[in-house]
Amino acid sequence: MNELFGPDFLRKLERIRLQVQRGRVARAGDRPSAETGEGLEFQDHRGYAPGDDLREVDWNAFARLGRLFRKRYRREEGEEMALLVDLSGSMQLGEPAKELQARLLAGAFAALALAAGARVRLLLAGRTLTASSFEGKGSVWPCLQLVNSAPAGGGRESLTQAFEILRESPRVLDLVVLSDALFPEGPDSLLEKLAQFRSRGHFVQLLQVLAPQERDPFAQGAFSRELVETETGVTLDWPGGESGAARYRRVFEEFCSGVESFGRKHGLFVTRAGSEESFDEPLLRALGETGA
Amino acid sequence: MSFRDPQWLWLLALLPAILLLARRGLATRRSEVASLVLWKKALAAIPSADISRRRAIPLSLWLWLLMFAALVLALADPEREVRGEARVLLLVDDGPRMEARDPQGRRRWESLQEKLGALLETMGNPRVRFETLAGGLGVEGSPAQIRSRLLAVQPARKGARLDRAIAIRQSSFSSFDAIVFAGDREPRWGESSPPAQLQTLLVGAPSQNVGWVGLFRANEGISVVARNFSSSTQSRSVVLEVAGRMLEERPLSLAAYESREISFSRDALGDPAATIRLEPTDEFSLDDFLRLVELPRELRVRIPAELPPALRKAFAAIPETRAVEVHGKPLPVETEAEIFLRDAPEACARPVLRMRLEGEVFSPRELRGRPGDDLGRLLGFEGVRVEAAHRPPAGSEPAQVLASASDAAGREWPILWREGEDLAIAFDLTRSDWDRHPSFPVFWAAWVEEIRLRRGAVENFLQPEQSDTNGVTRELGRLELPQGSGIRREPISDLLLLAAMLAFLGAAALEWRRK
Repeated sequence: MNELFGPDFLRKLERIRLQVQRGRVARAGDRPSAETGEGLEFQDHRGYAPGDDLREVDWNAFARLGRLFRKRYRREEGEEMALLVDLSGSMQLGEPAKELQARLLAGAFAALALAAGARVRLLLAGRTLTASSFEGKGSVWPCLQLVNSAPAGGGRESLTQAFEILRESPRVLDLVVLSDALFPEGPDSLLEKLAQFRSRGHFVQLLQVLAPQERDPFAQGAFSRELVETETGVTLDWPGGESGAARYRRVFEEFCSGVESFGRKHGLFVTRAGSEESFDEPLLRALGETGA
Repeated sequence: MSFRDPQWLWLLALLPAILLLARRGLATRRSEVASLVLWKKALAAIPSADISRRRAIPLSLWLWLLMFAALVLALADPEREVRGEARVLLLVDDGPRMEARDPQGRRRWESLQEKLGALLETMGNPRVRFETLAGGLGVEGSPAQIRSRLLAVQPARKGARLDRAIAIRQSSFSSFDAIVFAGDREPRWGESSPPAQLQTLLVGAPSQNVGWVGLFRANEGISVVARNFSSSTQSRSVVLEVAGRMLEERPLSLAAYESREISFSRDALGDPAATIRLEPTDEFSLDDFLRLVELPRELRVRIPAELPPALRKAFAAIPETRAVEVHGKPLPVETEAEIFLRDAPEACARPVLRMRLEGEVFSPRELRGRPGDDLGRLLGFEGVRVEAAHRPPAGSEPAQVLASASDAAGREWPILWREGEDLAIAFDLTRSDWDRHPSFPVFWAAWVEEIRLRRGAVENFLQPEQSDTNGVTRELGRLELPQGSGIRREPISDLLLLAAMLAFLGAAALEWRRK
C-alpha cells in the first residue's frame, strides 16, 4: 500500500487540500442543481476541526461558548459522496495501467472529502463489487486501504451492480465516477446512467481515465494486428497502414469530444485524466472544473 | 529437371515448419483493447483496398518462403535437359610423323584422311568439331564440311606433345557426345582415364618384326642399327627429322634377320644440339627411343660382371653387376662401353639412371661435395668431376640421400641416393668434359644421349622391341553415337537465384509498405 499511497501521494494530496481550502469551496448552491435558487437551511453545529472552512464557523457560538463550531446546513445533512471506481478488465490496460490512476484519484477524492467532513461511499467495481462507507478523518487510512486492495478485473457486472445500489440509495449523493468509458457497447450506456443521476439532482463528475496507448496506439508506427476486446474476447483484424492510423486518431478524438459535449449537455462534469499523468494534475483540473 | 546436388533438397522439409512458426508469430501479434467500438468505426472508414492487405498469411510471407525455396533449389544445382544437335569432336594428330610412308609409298596422312573421311560420311548429321593437335586448327561444321576441310589440311611441320595437346582440351570433353582420336599412336592420358566417349582410329602400327636396337650419336653424325626379326624381307624407310623438320628419308630393305647400321652425317643433322628424332615408317616404332631423346624416363643399367678395365675400376665397389640394359634390353658389354653425356635442357624431365644392386654395397653415408670436386675420390673413384647436380624429377625426392653436392648458387642437390634396390646417381657433366674424359667411367648423368656400342656387340643385343603402344592399326568403321546424344544439361541455378532475388525484393517492398 505504501507504493500506491506513499509519502509522495500524501505530500501532493496535502498540497491540494490546502489549495482547495484557500480557494472557493464549491457549495451546493454553486453547483448546477435542479434546486437552483433554493437556499441553504441551517441544520446544526458540528465541532470545528483544523482545516475546516473558517467561513463556516459560527462566531456567535464562539462568542457565547468560547469554542469553535461549524455550521451545518440542511444540504449537508446526510450528504454522501459516492465514489464509483471502474476496476473492470479494460482498466487494467495501458502503460501505466489505467486502474492505478483510477485508484490514486479515488483515494485522493476520498481523502479530501473525508478530510472535509463528508461521508464517502466507496464502490470499487472490479472482479467483485467492493462497497463501504467512510466518515471522518480517522477513516482516511482505512479508506485508502480499501481502494488499494479492491480486486480488479472482470466485466461490467459489478459496475452495473454498483449503479443499482446507487439508484436505490435515498440519500443525496455527489457522484464521482472514475472510468475509461470504453465499454464494448460504447460509452452511451455509462453516460446515460450518469445523465439519469444528474437529472435527479445529483452532482455528477466523470473522470475519464485513458492510457496514452489508447489515445494514440500508433505512436510507435502504424501496425497490423489482431485486436482483442479484453472483456468479451471479440477480435477484429486491423489491417494497418497510415491512413487507418489517422482515421483511428480522428475517431478517438470524436469519441472524447462526444463524451465532453454529452457532459456539457446534461450537466455532467467531465475531466480527462491520462494514466501517465501524476494524479494531482487531473485532480486539480477536476476540482477546478467543479469550482472546488 | 535433375539435380546435381540433390542432398540440399532436404532443406525444403523445413518449409512447413517455417510456415507454422510464421503463423504463430503472426498470431502473437495481437493487442488487447478496452473496446472495439472505436476501432470498428475507424475500420468502417478505411477503403476496402487497404483492408485487403490483411490476409491470414501475408503475401510477404509467401514471398519469403518462395525466396527460401528458390535458394534451396539453386543449392541443389538443378539442370534441365535441352535437346540439340549431337556433337562430335575429331582430334587429329597432324604431326610430322604423319608424313611417313608405308611400303607402298603412301603417306600415313593420306591413310588417315581416307579412313576419317569414310567415317565422316557415315556419321549422320551431328555437329562436328575438327581440331588438329600439332597445327592448332579448330573448326566446326557438318560432317560434309569437315570432310572437305580435312582433305585440305596437311601435316604440320612441327610435332606436338600429344599428351599435352590432349590435356589442354580435356576440360571441354564433357560437352561432346563422341570423341574420335585419329593418329598413328595412342595418346597418353597420364593419370586420368580416357574419356568414356572416346573412340580411336589408328593408322600405322609398329611391327614386331623389325626393331631398333640402338640409337647412337657420335660427333660425326648419327647412327642407327636396325634388325629384321622376321624370316622374310622387310622393306622400310627411315625418316630423319630434326626439330620437327624432316631432313631425310632413306629406303631400307632388310633381309631375314638382317641388321644394318644407318648413318646420317653431321651436316645433315644441322645443329647437333637440336632434338633428334628418327621417324619410323608405319611399321617401325621408335617410341621408346624417341622418349629417350626427348624425355628420357628411365635407363636401367646393370653393370656386367665382366667389366672392361675402365668400368671395373669405376665399379670396384659394386661387385654384383650383370649387364648394361637400355630400356630393359640388356646390353652385353664385351669390350668397352662409352657413354657420352651432354647437358640436358632445363625443360626436360630428368630421369635417373639406376644401378641395380643385388647386395648392399654402399653403406649409407653422406658425402658432400662442391662443383669441381672429384666425386670419384669422394666415392672411391677417380677421374670424375662434379660440375653440377640436378634434382631428381619432381615428386621423386629421395628419402635416403647418400651424397649431395652444391652448385654454384650454393644449393645442395642429392646426387647419390637409394631407391628400393636401386642406387641412383644424378648429376651431369658439361660438354667440355667429353673431351677430357673420352672413355668416361660409368657415371651416368640425368641425360644419356647415347650409348655407343662397338659393332661386335650388336648381334648379342638383338631382341624384338617391346612397344608399349597398343600395336595394331585400329579401324573405326562407323561412329556410333551414344544414346542421349544431343541432349545437353544446362544448369538453371542462375534462374533460381534471380527468382530468389526478386522474391526478396518483393517481400521487402511489401514489408516496407505495410509499415
